[in-house]
Amino acid sequence: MNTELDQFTNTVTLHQDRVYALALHVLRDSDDAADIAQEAFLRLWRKGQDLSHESVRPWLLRVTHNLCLDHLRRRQRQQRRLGHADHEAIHTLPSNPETTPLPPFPEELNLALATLAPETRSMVVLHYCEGLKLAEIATLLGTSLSAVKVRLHRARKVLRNTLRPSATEENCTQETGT
Amino acid sequence: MTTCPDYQREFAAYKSGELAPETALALAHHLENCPECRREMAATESLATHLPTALAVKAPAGLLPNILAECRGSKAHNRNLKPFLRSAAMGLAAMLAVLVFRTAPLTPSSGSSTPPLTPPARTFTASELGTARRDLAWTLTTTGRVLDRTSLRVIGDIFNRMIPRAISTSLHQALTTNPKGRS
Repeated sequence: MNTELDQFTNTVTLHQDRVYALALHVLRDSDDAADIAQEAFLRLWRKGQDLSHESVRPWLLRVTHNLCLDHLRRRQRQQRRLGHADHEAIHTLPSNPETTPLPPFPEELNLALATLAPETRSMVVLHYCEGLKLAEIATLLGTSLSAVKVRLHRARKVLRNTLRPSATEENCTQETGT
Repeated sequence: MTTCPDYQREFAAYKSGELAPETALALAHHLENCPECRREMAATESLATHLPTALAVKAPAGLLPNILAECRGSKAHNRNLKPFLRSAAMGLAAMLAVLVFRTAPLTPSSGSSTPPLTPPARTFTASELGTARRDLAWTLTTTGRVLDRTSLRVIGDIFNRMIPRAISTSLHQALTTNPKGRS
């Protein structure tokens, strides 16, 4: 009777972590990420049986990426409007989403990720966490292969020093050595 | 591809085996002779090793129940509304199509004593009809997109596809059966 819903439950269970992770790293806000992940899965549900089993993951990732960018654009528009609003109105609004606590990623990594553009953060997650090839990312996000290469290269330059466990120790050694 | 930055831009593609054989060979040869690029490659490999763990995150426990609750709601909602909405859409489409043909021309001819709502049946030119059709289609599509954003997919479908298609078909038939309508 509920076979369709059972199948969908399995799909959500299988993909929810990756969809949420992508949304979280692009948006950098836990609540917004949960909302976007939910919306992506609801769109999948409404799509019904149109998708084959293999195409579910890329479809979900693409929809999540697009929903995130739409959300960020809306947030930017909202912030621009707030620029003209009076101070009283601003103080009654929720706090800045950027300050919402994120899961405990390494602090250096967190700061480095924040300096990247949302599209680049998306590419980082898709390549390094989802294991997608660069050509697949280009297709998925509707961009060129060279654009993906350039953005990942920039991201690597920013992130390369954040994950070395000995980075701090090296700095200390250099400081004491001089 | 001659400079170190050029090579370094290809590192990710090189590691995932996406480079053409000759490019990959050239890069490998360059790596043998360039300590700077070897360091960069080591950093790339380190990133590839550690990032998946560092960025790993679990979805909140409430996500699945929330999604399923929404699905159950939308399923029941769609099932009840769909037949009614489809009929309503077809009715609305027919009504709009009739209105497009039967209402007064946009600019009634000067000196005409005919009341605006009862002009001769065919006073539209093809370009006027085309403009009206485009405007109407734009309005309906925009409405459909707004409804899509608000999760009312069935209604969104009606505005996005069904009504514009019905109107377009009606107009096409009218233009092909009435040569005066052609400009």
